[in-house]
Amino acid sequence: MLVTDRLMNKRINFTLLLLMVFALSSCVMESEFSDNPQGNFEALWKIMDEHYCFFDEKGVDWNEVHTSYAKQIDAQMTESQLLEVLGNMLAEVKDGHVNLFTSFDMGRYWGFHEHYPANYSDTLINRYLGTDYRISNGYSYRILDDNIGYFRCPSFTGPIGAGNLDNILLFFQPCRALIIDLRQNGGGLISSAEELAGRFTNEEVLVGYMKHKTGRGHNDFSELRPQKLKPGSGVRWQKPVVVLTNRAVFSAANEFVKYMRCCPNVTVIGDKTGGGAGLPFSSELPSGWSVRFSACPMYNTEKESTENGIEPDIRVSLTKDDFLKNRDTIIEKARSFINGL
Amino acid sequence: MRMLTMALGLLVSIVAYSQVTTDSTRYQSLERVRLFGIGHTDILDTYLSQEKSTGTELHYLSQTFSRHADSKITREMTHHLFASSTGTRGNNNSLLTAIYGFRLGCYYNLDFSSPSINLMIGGLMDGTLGGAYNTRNSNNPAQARIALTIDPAARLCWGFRIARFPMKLNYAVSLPLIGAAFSPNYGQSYYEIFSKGNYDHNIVLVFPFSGPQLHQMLTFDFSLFKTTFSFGYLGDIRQLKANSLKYHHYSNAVVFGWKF
Repeated sequence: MLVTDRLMNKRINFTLLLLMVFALSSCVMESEFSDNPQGNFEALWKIMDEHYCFFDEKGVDWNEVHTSYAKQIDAQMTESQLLEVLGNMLAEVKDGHVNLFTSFDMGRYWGFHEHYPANYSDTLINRYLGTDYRISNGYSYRILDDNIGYFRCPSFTGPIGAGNLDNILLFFQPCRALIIDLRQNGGGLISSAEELAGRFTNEEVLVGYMKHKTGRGHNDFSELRPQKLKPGSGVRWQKPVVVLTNRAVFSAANEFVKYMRCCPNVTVIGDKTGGGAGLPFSSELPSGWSVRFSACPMYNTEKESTENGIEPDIRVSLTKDDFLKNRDTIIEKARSFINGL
Repeated sequence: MRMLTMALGLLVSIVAYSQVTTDSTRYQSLERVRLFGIGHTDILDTYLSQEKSTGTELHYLSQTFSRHADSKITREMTHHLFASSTGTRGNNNSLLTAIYGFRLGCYYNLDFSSPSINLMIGGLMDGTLGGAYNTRNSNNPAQARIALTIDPAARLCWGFRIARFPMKLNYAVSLPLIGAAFSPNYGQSYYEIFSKGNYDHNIVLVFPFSGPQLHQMLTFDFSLFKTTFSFGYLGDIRQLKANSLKYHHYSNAVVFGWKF
């Protein structure tokens, strides 16, 4: 009888233990790093390791990066020193979409335009715009002397109103062609880029492909899905268009150039764009610092990455001579190209 | 589109169900409960952040229990609204969450007269609609919470008196057993899902191994000034592991309200 009781007790204890193990293992939790330099370093490395989408394309050995930067982490380092080390670690991927945001500074890699000629001057743009230009939805526009519309598009950070676009394109109706000056456009909403590009096609066109990560592995991706540009529902432009670019054309603006190259009557003039073909996601470190990283890669119609920029149809740079004569070489090239059509 | 159809179908069924349950003359018992709650919540959603978010959560519960005359069956309809503004270790108030839960239930009654105990065993159709918004993120700023599950459920009510005063202890528990939920894929943006229509395993299976879930509530009823008041504890565990993403939403709240 005593033996049976002991056996019964053992079974009950075993069952309780199993239930406890099941209950504990059933909690859906994420590993938590300490809020100190080491913990923040490990958290950042892991977030990038599991989410960043361009390791293979950029040829970055992320484990090797861990080995070399872990040595630079010290428990006594200040926030500024930590940001410097973490910022340098992130800069290894040479991606303008990879940033570390703190309340006092931003870790960044802007080599995609800082290492190249600007090919842009506010002074020259102001000369071409003059004082009698229109402003709508944050965009400045006017008709140049040779009856060419000039549309300055410095950003896609806000949504573009369909009514604004209708008014702008109707204003340009008498013009023989349109120049869209995209230089310095660092991107913003991809939907705004689509809205504007949709005014330059009368039919749905394939403009590229995109995919997303399906797991933590560096090569866990979905299949490529086509990106289609739908024609805009308002006024659509039917005449020649020239898009002006420089190295600071990035992200959604880079996508806009990609879309426009698939539309009829479009020529891209200027410098190569800055790239930024990974739709960025965000996450957070234990310290509260935000990290942004490329998560969904996008490609052109030939399934080639546009992460490192898009070549123009006609490469032109600002010249010193023209600058001294108050002439923007790239705008002048666009005008002579249009006048020669 | 499928999700919208599903949501509309559920809405129609709730409206139809509520119209049936408001006809009080046909019932042996009809009990309505209104409860307000405040408590602590702990939310993790790795789609939005690797950090868990904690803070205060507010609840509102509306419950109706109806039992036909000469019937052993009780029907339940519950609307549960809860909302929170929570923060991580490093950022206060960085996550805003609002969820509407509805449950349609059916129980078989086991009545015992001495002591006065009523045990109800049955099941629920358990729906969730809501979302969370991270105030700091770029292309992954929000997460939708849509789910429909079948839950085994039980309720235990013990009526007793202290002096002349009737009182009641109620315990209700339900465990989502099987169902479906919406989830973006691991690194999939909502732009890709909704603007491009690129679906990729966005309807996922919910079952105990995708993350055990539990809804429970313990309340104490007492009468005062011809009104039955109710207060107690509400516990809600929602979890999901799908598409390599992790989600948990733990709620513990004190509730107070009345019955009529």
